[in-house]
Formats: sequence, C-alpha cells, structure tokens
Amino acid sequence: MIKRMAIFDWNAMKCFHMRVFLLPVISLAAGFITALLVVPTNVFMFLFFSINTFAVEEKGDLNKLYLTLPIKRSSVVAGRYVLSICMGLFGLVTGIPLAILADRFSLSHYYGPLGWFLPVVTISYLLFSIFNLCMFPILFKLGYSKGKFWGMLVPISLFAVLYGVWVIISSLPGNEYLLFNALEYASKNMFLVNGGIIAVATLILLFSFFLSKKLYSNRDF
Amino acid sequence: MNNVIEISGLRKQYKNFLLNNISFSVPGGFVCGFIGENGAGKTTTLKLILGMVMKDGGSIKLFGKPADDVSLKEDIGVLFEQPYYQEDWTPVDIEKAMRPFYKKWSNTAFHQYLERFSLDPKQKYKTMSRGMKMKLGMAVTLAHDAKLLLLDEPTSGLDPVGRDEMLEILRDYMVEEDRTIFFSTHITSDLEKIADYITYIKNGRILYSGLKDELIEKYCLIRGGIGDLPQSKRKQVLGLREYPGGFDAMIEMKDIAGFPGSVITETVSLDDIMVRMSKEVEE
Repeated sequence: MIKRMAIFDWNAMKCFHMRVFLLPVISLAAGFITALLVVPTNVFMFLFFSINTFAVEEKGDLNKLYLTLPIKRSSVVAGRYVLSICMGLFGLVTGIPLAILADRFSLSHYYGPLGWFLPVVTISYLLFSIFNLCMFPILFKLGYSKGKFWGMLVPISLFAVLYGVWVIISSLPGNEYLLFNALEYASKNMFLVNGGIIAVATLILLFSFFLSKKLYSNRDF
Repeated sequence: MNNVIEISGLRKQYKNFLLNNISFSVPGGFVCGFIGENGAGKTTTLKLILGMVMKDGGSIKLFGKPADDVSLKEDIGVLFEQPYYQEDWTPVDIEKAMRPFYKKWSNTAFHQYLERFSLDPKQKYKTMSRGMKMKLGMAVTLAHDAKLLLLDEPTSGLDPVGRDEMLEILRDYMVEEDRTIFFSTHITSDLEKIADYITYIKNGRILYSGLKDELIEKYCLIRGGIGDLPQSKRKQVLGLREYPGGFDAMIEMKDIAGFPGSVITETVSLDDIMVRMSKEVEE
C-alpha cells in the first residue's frame, strides 16, 4: 500500500512533472561558488519539489479521496515519505555528476580525493532530514495553505541563510582552508563522522515520520 | 435483514455544532435517504462513517464490523457533491490511480461504464460538466463492485435531465442483490422516487428513521377556513400556518378525527414533512 500511495502521489503531481527539469539548473547555479554545494542543493531542491504533493492534495481535495480508499492513514504518511526519500535519493545521485560539471566553472575548484566527497553526501542526507522535519509534520497537520509559511517558506529561508552564512564564513580571511580542513578531518575519521551523521540524520527522519503520522492520524477533513 | 450501517450514540462536537448521540441503522439491500436541511449534520455523519473526522463518542459499524477496519472500504463507493480527482486527470489516469487500491477492480467494467455513460476516456476532468463528473465517479464505484454506496448530495447542482439520469444509474445499481445506497440530500423529490427508508436529521438530532412509506402514511396535510381548527386540536397539529383566510398544517393520521367536514385532507410529501417538522422543532 505504501508503494501504491507513493505512486499515487507522484501521479497526482502530474501538472508539476515538467518542472522537475528546472531543479538541476538551480543546483548548478549554486555550484558557481563551489561545486561542493551542488549535491546538498540538489537534494534540498528535490525534497522541496516533493512538497508539491501537499499542494496538489489540497487543490484537488485528495485527502478526502484517500480516506475513501481501503488504506490506513499511516499509509498515506508513509507513502509521502517514501516518495520524498526517493526524490532526495534521486537528487543525491544526479547531484554527483552535476557537481563534477559545476566544478568546471565554479570559482573555487575541488581538488580533493574522491573519498572526501563522502561527507558531502552524508551532510546532504542530514540536511534532507532536518528540512524534512521542518516541513512535513507541519504540512501534515495544517495542510498546504495554512502550513506553507512555517512548513515551507521558513525552511526555504533557513536554507538560504545557511547557504549565505557558509559562503560568508568560508570567504573570510583565514578561513580559506576551512572546508579543506573539515573534509580532511572527515576523511581521517570516516566512520565516526559519516557514521555519526547518518545515524543522527536517520533518527531525525524517523522522528519526523512518527510525528507526521501522529499529527495526521487525528486530523479532521 | 442485516444492517449494513449501524450507528449508535454517535457524537461529534464542533465550535458551533453538535451531532448529539445519534443512532440509526441502514438495512442491506435498500435505498436509504438521509434528509435534513443544510447544516443539519448529514455530511458530518457521512464523514464520521468514512473516518474523515474523528468521533467524540459512540460506535459505527459497517457490514457488522467496526468502521475503522479500512479493508471494509473495498466494498464501499463514495460520491460527495463531486468526486475528488485531480483537475488534469483523464478517466484513464483515474483508472491507473484507483486500480491498485481495489482487489476487485475490473478494467473491462470501468471502460464499459465509460462507454455507457458516454464519457471520453481521454477527456480531462476539469473540462467535464458536473453531470459527467458524477457519472465518472459512479463508473469508478461500479468498477470495483462496491456493495454500499455513500452519496452526499449527488444530485445537487444537476439540471433535471442530469438528475433523472443519475437516479436511473442508481436504480440500475440496485438491480443486483446485496447492494445498498445511503443517500444524503436535501432534494427530497429524488428520494420519493427511489428511497425505501428515510432517516431525518435536524440540528444534529435524528427525528425519524424508518420506512419511507410509513413516514408518508403516518401524516397528512389539512387545510381549512377560519374557525375550522378546534382549540383541542391545536396541540396535535405540526407546522401550523395561519393566514387571514384560514390555516394549513400537518397532522398524524390517528388524530384526524374531530375536524369539521369543511377541512380538506391531502397526502404529504417528504418536503412537507421536512418543512413542517422543522417548523415544529424550531417553535
């Protein structure tokens, strides 16, 4: 049922399908500073794209349709998470070749070994989980119209601020090697850093899912 | 006779509305009309049956089992004022979307109904008329062979021809055995044509639940001139209207004796019953 719900949600977003091709363009633009930002941006953009399920659900009153189907409310939530995670994974996988492409024109080129790229991937997963927690439970509780300020606009602004702060901090005198040093540390402590990030991100994602499930189970339509 | 829907002590409190411990049942194999004014609690009751809103108390059983068993929805078809499909979906998209959820879904039946209802499989939902949308909803319901139809105002907003077509479809649906329709509406003339049972809700309370014919035969309308309404009968009449030339009211058949011969009696319609009872409750 969860897989069916994920497919149903994807089909419900039919009117948005063409826009998915815009996402890599935005991610490539983010790589103008450094290619290392492409993967997290791409993951975030695909997560953000998956929010469209909430928009179409409200526009077409799909919640009412879901509740006429022989499925549990928890399957609706799980299906939405599966779709979102699949899109995040797609963002991650497509983000890697995009990052290689972006490195050709970015201001700060990536010279590190391939192994240094792993923390970028795990941090992208952490960002995915954090923003998922910021967005999904609120949208499941309030719906798209009422929840889009706290569940969409605030997280997007937060992401933009994070991006700006990183650009500023890494541009300050003395911080030229900040990213280099961080990646080197991560590569030397591969298990601790990446394992820790993956564990924390998974816990956040699970918390987000159970919170959404709880909030959606009591919602009146 | 098995009850397909059994509601007992159902309660839901909103800020400005209370569904007050309602109890009624819908027998299987019949069309049951659920009547009441706008805001009486019809849609809330249907939503509670489907689990769209959370109940504050009471119990709901469908096919003899607690309504929160989602597998029961395999046998339920739902049509609200219009089906909830995406605007840019075509009937083919709807088929793809709905098919995986129903074990008994039949593509052949779905396409047969599309053809029978003269619906183009490639026409976008948003370009369909209201009547076409309702027919599409019925095609979906019939494609998964629902045993119980829950309809909320399915004919409101349809022109007389569209309403008649819809009623014809519902009549055809009832041809097969073990099929039940629970039909919420405020257009009572539709129910006079097809309903066997009536449940009447007013301000969140059930005023009547039983056979339609019993309800109609229980009352009659009386009209008379000034002075034709004895004082002793005033308490027995319902929804009394007095005007300079006389009066009209509804009265139970058992109380009909005792009026002067000049008083005219007429059979009541569901509309009359709803209006007179409503007036009485308000008074």
